[in-house]
Amino acid sequence: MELHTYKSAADLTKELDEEVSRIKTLLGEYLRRLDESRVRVEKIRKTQEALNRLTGGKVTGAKAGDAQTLDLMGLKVIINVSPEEEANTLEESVKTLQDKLNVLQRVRKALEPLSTLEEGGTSITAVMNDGIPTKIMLRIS
Amino acid sequence: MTSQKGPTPTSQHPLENTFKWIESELTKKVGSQLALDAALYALQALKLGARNVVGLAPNVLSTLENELNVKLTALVDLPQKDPEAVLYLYRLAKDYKPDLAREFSKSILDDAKRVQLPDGSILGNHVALSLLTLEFDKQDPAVQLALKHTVNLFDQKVAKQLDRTPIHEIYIYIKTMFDGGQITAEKVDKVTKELLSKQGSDGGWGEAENTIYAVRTLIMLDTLTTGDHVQRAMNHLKDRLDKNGAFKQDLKLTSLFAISWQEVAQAYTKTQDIFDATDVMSNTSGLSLEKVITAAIKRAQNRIIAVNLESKSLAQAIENALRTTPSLSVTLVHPSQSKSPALDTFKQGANRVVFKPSSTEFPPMLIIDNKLVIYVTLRDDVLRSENAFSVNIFNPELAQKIVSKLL
Repeated sequence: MELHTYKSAADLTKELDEEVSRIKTLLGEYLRRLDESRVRVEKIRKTQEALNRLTGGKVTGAKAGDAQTLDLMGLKVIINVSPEEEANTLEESVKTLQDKLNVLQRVRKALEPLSTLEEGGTSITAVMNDGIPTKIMLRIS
Repeated sequence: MTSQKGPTPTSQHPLENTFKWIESELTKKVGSQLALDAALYALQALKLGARNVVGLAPNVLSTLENELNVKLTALVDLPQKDPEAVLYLYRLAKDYKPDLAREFSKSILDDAKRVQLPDGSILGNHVALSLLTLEFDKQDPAVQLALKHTVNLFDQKVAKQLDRTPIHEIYIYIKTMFDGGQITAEKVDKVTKELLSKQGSDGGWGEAENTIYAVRTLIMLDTLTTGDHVQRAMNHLKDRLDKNGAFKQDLKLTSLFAISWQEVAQAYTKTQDIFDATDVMSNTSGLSLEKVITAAIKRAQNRIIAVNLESKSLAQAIENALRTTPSLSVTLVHPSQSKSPALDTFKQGANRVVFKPSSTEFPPMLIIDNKLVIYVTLRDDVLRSENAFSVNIFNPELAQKIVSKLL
């Protein structure tokens, strides 16, 4: 949790917009990777189906490079990550980032009435949690 | 001919009880424990049912203006969760509080642009936001880019797994492409066939909500040939209403049903207009002209109908229609010197067409069963244009005279 002080509401909004922009870039990149990952998963699924048909189901479960998951003091370490696992992890990240984006949009809208405050006469301190203002303190001089 | 009657007209509206129930629920709960989306659906249902919403609409809009949480829901959450509710809100605000409507459209459009990627996709629920932004500013390049992305998403993902896509999701895609003028005959056929194949023997598509969205999708795509299916679905839904005319006391679902009922009735009226006009008229129904032709051919057995149609797909449409009405004869009259590509299209496509060269100078014409006259020109760009028109000739003698002259 950090405290950020702004000279005006516009400065705060600007910072929020910059955070939205950063998340947008990140999300774009993740979505692209997710698409590629899904294509890989689909290819593997189809190959396996084809193999199953050829062999009468004898190769069920045979995966190129099965993943192994280790717990390192609470940190999940995936060795030889499978495309499926990668897609799931990316999906989780995308969902988290989208939720964050939604919260930022809500906060930005909620702060719009502050833009009527005169610049210079007010100082704004925001309590930031992971880039999202959770508390706003106004000081009117 | 497929039944085109739609909801049966009686002196009292068939959904009279339903409208009364919606009205009373809305009056009881407005401003208190009522969910915003349910209120918006209810108001839209009452509006479509020509009920007076003057007393109720401003109340809902004031709550929205004065309560920050409700406003945030409408501006940030609802556009992704339920874009149609926001469409209804926007249209309502335009009637009662134009400033609020402007604020809404600008705010949602700005938000969408802020999170739009270079390929046109809008982060979050892309198709929902694409539908909304189209309503707000169709000409905006960012909106057009989003629409293009919606079409790509549909082609690359949804169309390939229609059977696994929820009906409501299909509906939102189709509505977005329909509103954006991006629906093609191929998409119409594919989705229509898929939906019809899933209709149950009871007329429904499982849950009431699924059935409602299937009906709403079908009437958007093709009212001419899906009439019986839609009629069965609406009867099935109506039979499931409780004694108050509601679905499980659910205001949103009941309102959604009332909206679909009115949409079905309106779609049938528009369809009927195509054939009932006594003068030259525009095809403003939004229906594919190919479907209009198919229906016109079926009706040609007892009426005289002339349709001016300009489409490369005409030959195929005629051939398809003839397959279902084998007793009709088809003659293509064309100027003997004509090098029109129309002739080639017909020669390749319709093997039951008799070609009749004529020395008179006129655009090629197709005569079916000596009754239906189709003027054939080949400009694909007007296939779906509102400027393409049909003419009904109600005087059989005059029509016969025209036909004999041409032959």
